Order: sequence, then C-alpha cells, then structure tokens
Amino acid sequence: MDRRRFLKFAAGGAAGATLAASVPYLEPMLRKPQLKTERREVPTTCEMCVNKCSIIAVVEDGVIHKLNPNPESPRSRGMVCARGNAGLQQVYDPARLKRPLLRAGARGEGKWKPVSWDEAFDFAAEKLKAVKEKCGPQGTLWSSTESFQETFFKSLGLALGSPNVERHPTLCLASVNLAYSLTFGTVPSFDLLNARYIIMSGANRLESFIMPDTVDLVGSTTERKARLIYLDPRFTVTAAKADEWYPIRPHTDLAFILAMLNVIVGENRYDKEFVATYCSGFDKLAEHVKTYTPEWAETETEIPAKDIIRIAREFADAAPRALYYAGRRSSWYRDDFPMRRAQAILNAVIGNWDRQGGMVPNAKIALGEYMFLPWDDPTAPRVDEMDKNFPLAAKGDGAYLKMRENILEGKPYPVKAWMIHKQDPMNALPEQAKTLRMIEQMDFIGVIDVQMSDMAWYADVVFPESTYLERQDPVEVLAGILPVVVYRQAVIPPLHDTKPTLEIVQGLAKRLGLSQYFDYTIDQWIDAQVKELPLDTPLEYLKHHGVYASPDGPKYGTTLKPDHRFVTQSGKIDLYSDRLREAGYDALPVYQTPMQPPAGRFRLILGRKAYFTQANTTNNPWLNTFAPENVLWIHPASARSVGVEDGDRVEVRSSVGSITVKARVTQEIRPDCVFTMHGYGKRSKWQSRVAGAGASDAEIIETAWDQVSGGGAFHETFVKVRKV
Amino acid sequence: MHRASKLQTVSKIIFVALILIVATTLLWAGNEAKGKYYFKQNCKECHSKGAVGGEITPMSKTQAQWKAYFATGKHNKRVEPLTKIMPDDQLRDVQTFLANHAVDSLQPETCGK
Amino acid sequence: MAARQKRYALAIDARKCINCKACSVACRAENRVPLGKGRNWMNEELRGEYPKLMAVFEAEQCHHCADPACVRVCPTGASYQRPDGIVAIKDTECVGCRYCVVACPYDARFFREDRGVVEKCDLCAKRVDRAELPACVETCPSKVRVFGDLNDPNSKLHELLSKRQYRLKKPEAGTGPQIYYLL
Repeated sequence: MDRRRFLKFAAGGAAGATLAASVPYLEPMLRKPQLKTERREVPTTCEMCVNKCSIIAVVEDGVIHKLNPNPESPRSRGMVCARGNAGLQQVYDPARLKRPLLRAGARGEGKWKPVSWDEAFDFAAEKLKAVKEKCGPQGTLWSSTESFQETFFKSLGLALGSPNVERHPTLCLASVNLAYSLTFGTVPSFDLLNARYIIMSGANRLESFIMPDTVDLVGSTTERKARLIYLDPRFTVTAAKADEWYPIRPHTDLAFILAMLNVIVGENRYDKEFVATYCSGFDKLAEHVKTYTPEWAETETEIPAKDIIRIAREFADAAPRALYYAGRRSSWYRDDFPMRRAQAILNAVIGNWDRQGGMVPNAKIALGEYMFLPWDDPTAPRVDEMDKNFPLAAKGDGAYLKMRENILEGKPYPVKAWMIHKQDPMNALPEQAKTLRMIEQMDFIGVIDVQMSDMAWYADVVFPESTYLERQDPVEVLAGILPVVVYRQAVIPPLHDTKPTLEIVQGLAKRLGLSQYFDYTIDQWIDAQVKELPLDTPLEYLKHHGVYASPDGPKYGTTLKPDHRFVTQSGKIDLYSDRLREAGYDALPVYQTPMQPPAGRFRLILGRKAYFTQANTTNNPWLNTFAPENVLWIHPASARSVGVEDGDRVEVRSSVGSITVKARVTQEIRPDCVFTMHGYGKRSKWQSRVAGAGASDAEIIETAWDQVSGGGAFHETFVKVRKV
Repeated sequence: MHRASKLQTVSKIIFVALILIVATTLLWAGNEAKGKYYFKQNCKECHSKGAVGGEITPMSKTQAQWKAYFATGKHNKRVEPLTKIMPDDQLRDVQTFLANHAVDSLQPETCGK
Repeated sequence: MAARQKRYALAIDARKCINCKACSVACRAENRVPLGKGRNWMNEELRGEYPKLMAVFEAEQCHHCADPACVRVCPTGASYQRPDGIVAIKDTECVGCRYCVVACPYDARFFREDRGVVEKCDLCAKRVDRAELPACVETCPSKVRVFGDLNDPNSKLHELLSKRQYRLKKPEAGTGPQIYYLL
C-alpha cells in the first residue's frame, strides 16, 4: 500500500527502505523495539462528523496508532481534520460505554448496573411491548441522528408500527433543503473551487465545519483570487479571510438578498436567456422585488446601500462563476425559509445553475439494495402532525420541536417510550427543561451510543455500540460534484462487549416478534449494495481502497437542455412557487421587519468550531484542550453597559432559563449580540472534562421553529447579562 | 404581522382542503415501501436499462400520467391486463410508489438517509 | 547509486491557515505528545477595532536550523542533526539538562516530566524515512505547510521559494532557520 508515499521517494525504488535501514537510531520507541512486530494500514471511513472522509488507519500490534488521510477520495481532499485525528480517542477513551447498562437509581442519578446483552434486550423489549399494549405502536418514538446504520434503527420503529421516526434534519438543514427542493427540485452542490465571486451569510465555512467546501474555498480565494463577501455578526475565521466582512444586523439577511435582486433585476443584469429558458415566474419576481431598494435594505441590515449595489453588480458580472453559498447549518428564525428561498432565487436569476463555478446538481453512483418485503404502513398519523403543520416538508424526517411540544401536551395521543440512536436531544434541542419534562413523562427510554451522552445519562437502558473503527457498516454513496462510494470496515475487533446497531436491532426485533424484517447479515446487505458497482470484485476493491470514486471528472451542464424537466411543479425552476401558494405560504419571499433586542438585552447567537461542531466531542481529551469551557463573547461597549469585565463570571438569562459562564470581552462581535459555544455543562458525569465546565446553551435557548420546514430556529433568544 | 394572520386563515382553508385530498387519496393509497419492493420484483426485469421493455422509473411520468396509466388497467401496449403481472392490492402499492416519486412530485431532500 | 544529499525544510503559507488545529492533533496522535505540551503551535494575532479587524494565524514548530544552537549546547550529543537537515533528539542519550530548551531561539523544545527527556518536532522522521509526509503536513485540510527537499530542483518547495517571497523568523539569532514563511 503505497498510495500515501510521496512520489519523489517512490521514484527511487527501494530508496525509502534502504534509508530506513541505514538510520537504525530512528527505530521508534527505543525502549521496546522488539514489540513492533505487526504494522497494518486499513482504509476505512471517518465518523467524527457527517462528511465521512476516507481515512487510513495505521495499526501497530493491534493498537490503532494514527488515522491518516486517504488521498484516493476526492471527497476528503486529502485531509483529516482535528476531529478526525482525535477519532482514536473514541476507541481508547476509558470512560466509553463498554457493556450494556441498566439504570439502578433514579433517572439522571448516574447509578448503573452492568448486564448481559440478553438482559438488556429482554428488559427493553418488555417495556416496548408494554407501551405498545397501552398506547399502540404510535406510543413509541424512534429518534436518530445520521449514520450508516441509522436505516436499521429506523426500520425497527417502522416495523413495530410506529409512524414516529424522528430524524435530525429539523435540527439541521431542513429549511435549506426544502427551499432548494421547492425551487430547483433538488439541493445542489456549490462549486466553490471554481467560483470567482462568493457571498456567504450564516455559513462560517472556514471555521464551523471542515468539509470539501472549506478546502475549496481556501483554494479559490488564495490561489485563484476569488472574491469572498462575508456577512456575520461575529468576526470569525471566515471573516478574517474574507475580502469584505459586514457585521450585518442579525435577522436581516433576507433584506440584503432582496435588495441584491432589486438591483440585478432592475438594472437588467440577470441572465435573460437562462431565465427565459429554464425559470418560471420571473415577471412576478420582478414586480415583487421593486420595493426592496438598497436604500431600504441599508436601514434594515446596516450595510451601506452603495455597497449592496456594488456587490450586486459585481456578483452579476462574475456570473456564472458567482454564487450565494447556502451553508450547512440549522435554521435561525421562524421565517428562515423565505431567506433560504431568496438565496436560491438570487442564484437562479444570474444563471449559475449547473455551470462551472456555480451551483451543480449532485452526481450520484447507483448502488443496489437488499430487497425484502417490508412492513405494513402505520395506522396512526405522526405525533408531530406533519401533514397539518408542515405539509411541504420531508415527512419521513418529522419536525423535532413540534414533536416535543405535542408529546408534552399528550396530543394527539400519548407517547410513552423513546428509543434514541446516537443522538443527544438534551443538548441538541433548545430549552433543556422541556426535554427533561419529556424524559420524565416517558415510561421507557433506551439509548444506543458509544459514549455516555447526556441523553444516555437519563436512559433506563444503554446499549453500547461498537465504535466506527471496530465495526463494518453498509456502504454509502456520497453524492456531489465528484461522487464517491465509501466503505467502513472494522480496523480492529471490538475492544469491549459492544455491538453494531444492526445486531442491537436484531436482538430487539427477535423479542418483539419482528425477526422476518431483519433476517439478513451485514455482509448480505453490503453484497446487495455493491454488486451494481462497475467493478469486477467490488467488495475486494472497497476493502483494499476504502473508497470508490467515479472515474469521470466533474460534469457541468447535464441539465442545461431546454427540454430538461426539473422535479418541480412547473417542471422549470420555480422562482414563483405555486406549490407554496397553494399550501398557504408566500409564493415569493416576503420580508417582515424582525424584532431586535430591547435595551439591556442581547441576541444570543450560536456558532461552531470545527473541532467540536456538535456536542459530542467536547469531552475528547485531544480536542477539549482547545476550549476547556465555553465563555460568553460580549463587545467591550456592551460589557461596560452591564458592568462586566473580561473574565468575570456572568449570568446569562433568557425567558426559559439561565446559565453562568465566564465573560470574554472582545471586539469580535456586534454590540447587540452575545455568543457562546455549544456542548458544555454536561450532566453526564462520565464526560468528566465538560461535566463541570461551562454551561449548556440548551438551557437558555428558547423554543421556536421555522414555519415552513419545521426546522428549529436557534437565534430567536434575547438574553440579559449580569455579573455574579 | 399581516402575513401571520393571513397565513392562519389561509392555512385553515388549506387544512380543510388537505383533509379532503388526503381522504380522497387514501381511497387508493397503497404502501409505498411495499410498492417499491413489488416494482423491483415484478417490473424491473423487463424495465431496466437495455432490457426488452425499456427502462421505466417513477420519474418516467408525472403523477397524473401514472394515475391515468393505472386507470387503464392495461399493460404491454394496452393489451394485457395489469392484473396478469400482479394482484390488485400489489398494483395499488406500486402505483403509490411510482406516483410519490413521479417527475413532478415534491420530494424534499434530506440530510443523510 | 550515489544519492544527492537531501535537505528537508518547510514552507508555511499563513494565508491558507484557518486555525483548525488539525496539525496540532495529528502531531499529538503521531508522536503521542502529552496533553499540555505541543511540538507545533499556532501564533494567533488579532488587530484593530470593531468593525475594522484583522486576524493572522501562523503555524510554528522547530525550524530545523542549518546551525542549530540546541545541538551546539547539548553536552551529551543527544541533540543532533541528520545529514538531511532534520534536527532530532536521541532520547536514550538525553539527560534532561534542558540547555537546549534555553538555547532555542524559537522556544520549540519542552521538557517531558514523565520521561525526563526533552522533546520537539523531528519532522516525523520515522514517517519521512518511510517516504511519508510529516503528520502535520499530510493532514492539513488547506495545505498550509509544504514539506520538501531544498536540493531537489523539481520539488514543489523549490518552486514555491523561487517564485514567492518569503521571510524567516529571527534570522538575527544566527541559527539559519529553515521554515520559510511565504508572503
């Protein structure tokens, strides 16, 4: 396996080996050199975030020594980020979950009894059957975050007859995905690598999450002089690298976008041929944006009108290699959807669709599917009443916060059992007190995870999953400009008495009388998937390479044929959406002047650091060291106004709770905002580094959701800050 | 806040309409997951790329076209009854699968799978 | 075959650095550097006042000097320089006197209490000898660091240094530092 060797050496033939032999003083770990008998390199797939980079695990004498990048994957751009490098701490963490646990004290008390898998399965199955008996199968809730084995977990809930499979998108990209789906019929990728003019608002691409777009953005801005315009109330890493940073007034991004449309349409700078051929409803759009002038937008956004006009002109001039980046994050406001739609429309009218340096519909690689006759449809409606509340949203994903509200009210029916797959609703949802109330009213809670998350801390039974370096997963297609198929194989056998999710599901299914739906092995499942790949021995290939990349390079313009039918209602790009209108929403994005914090209060804004992003790696020792606790960013003038100095402990109070953290007085934030990081103040004592450190933002964020997608709206909270 | 109030009244009307739609569609609505299974089992042999019947996917037609197609009850140049391929209840499942993923269907994309 | 002598060095393109810490964790993993210490580190600087701010992120580690002060002062020969330029420590010969820690103009060395020896970046010499890149270089998402052989006219490092301007840190210390900060 020499794919990582740099070529200058490889060209010298055996030079590398010779050199190593000639420098015996470099033999590693001089104390016990005789122990280094076996060294293996195993290509597999990272699971520390959702990007699923391809990695090569170096195993020395059965111990994972290092996770290196696998250059064969175009998707991972030859990188492993901080989190990816810290992945092996998940395996060797002394406080990880090692065997099934039954709760021995009160919920959240932290008393556990280690049990056998049979005991754990029997216990959980009895509880699930009891709830099914009492409330019907719809009385069980199955919530999960995204993983390669999520499909098995979801299937168990559906096979049991529950409609309540609640996935993570409404804590994530729901509003973005729905806005692009309704406009283009699909959610495209953004060709940052080849773009020449990039606008980002609410996407801290260089800091919050390291993904291919991050790498491409660095490449295009430094090597090819692409221009980056960045809007954010905070001075982030992306702001530091941008050509222009505007600390926009929060909740006014829509005004900025509408004013850009006003200029581009009003000055005839849009792509007329593209709009005429591929778009529907342009006339209505043109009429609609007339009143949204740059001068008006200046009063909303605090971005000078002359800059809005200039940016709009530069953006249109750079088309089609210009894009307004959609970002990769949750919703912020109750009216997040119209802002996302406006971005999509702005991109559409400059004609960057399916063009190099613009937006590109994702290419895919076809996989096979293990076929079995599935279960009957559930008879009950969903507890979150998707049809009524969010008729256009992705029904199979659910709407997390509406679900919690309904369950707390017992509407439309009681839900009394909660199974959770690798998710931490205690930290992922706003208003933690409500999550605790939801926990209290459950007859049964079961959690599958690799570590004792705050959610697991409140469970009745905890099923320990084998970590991603100890198990084999179904293969997955990562669609994109350069699509890949990735494979995760076990690097080492499980260190402890843990199981992969499929086997946990099968153990429960057997006791619930549902074995016929899970009557396959992971190998059979994978064989069915890979047999469609254009390879002679696909599984062998994946075991050896870890990734299959389509040999074709990027393809642009595959949908740019006048007879191409977009998967929308009109068959064209819906600038004006009849579908939205018919569902009772605005067919074009309408701006409502938002509420701003009253005197003495600040808007709480969130943001991420890539070495954590979500809450589940703040306790990783190699990552925790970068930020052992969370602090409150506050502007010097604001700090003065509330009598706070740098390093003071401050109480941050919203209408739903209060937390106490240290203040960080900094120039890097707007005076009307405060900011803190996520994933601290854990309740789980097994997460010892962050159990007493900082505080959980989930305690003070108020419950709100985007009205169209149902996605949690996380920037609607105003807080008071005082020194304690 | 005019939009919110307008939205409420409109959504009430829509909700009623929706119930009607759901109620009427339920009359023929089958099981989408099973429909996919039956489609793959019974149709794909002849309707894959390069196969004798030519490739057919849900995206081959609009929702209305699928409805019209199944209303004819005929297969194979409108000669053979569809029930020769599979029984009525399975056909209903297949129709549901095809219509739900038709070329003009709303399929909001999701994160992961 | 008489191989031409190699001279390894690093170029660092700070414009590309997004302070993501991948290099720090990769180094910790590869070299099992204890928590609280680091073989590489980040110089962060924030200038200006809201809303006119700028930030610089500049990675640093041992400069693998041409005339390393640490090697000069080492009483046991534990600190030494390989023919390819890599400055390294034979930890069996290190007595923990820490003269080198004081002598280094870049503060690149630290004392490991648990093992009683001094430690620092050795450009992942083990990896380099397997023809692999140093961990910090390989893992970097935005490829801030360029590792290469200054004596190889075909190397990317050579090309960068012939095309771009660069600066050295504290050249006045007279140790001949070999990290080239691209401008």
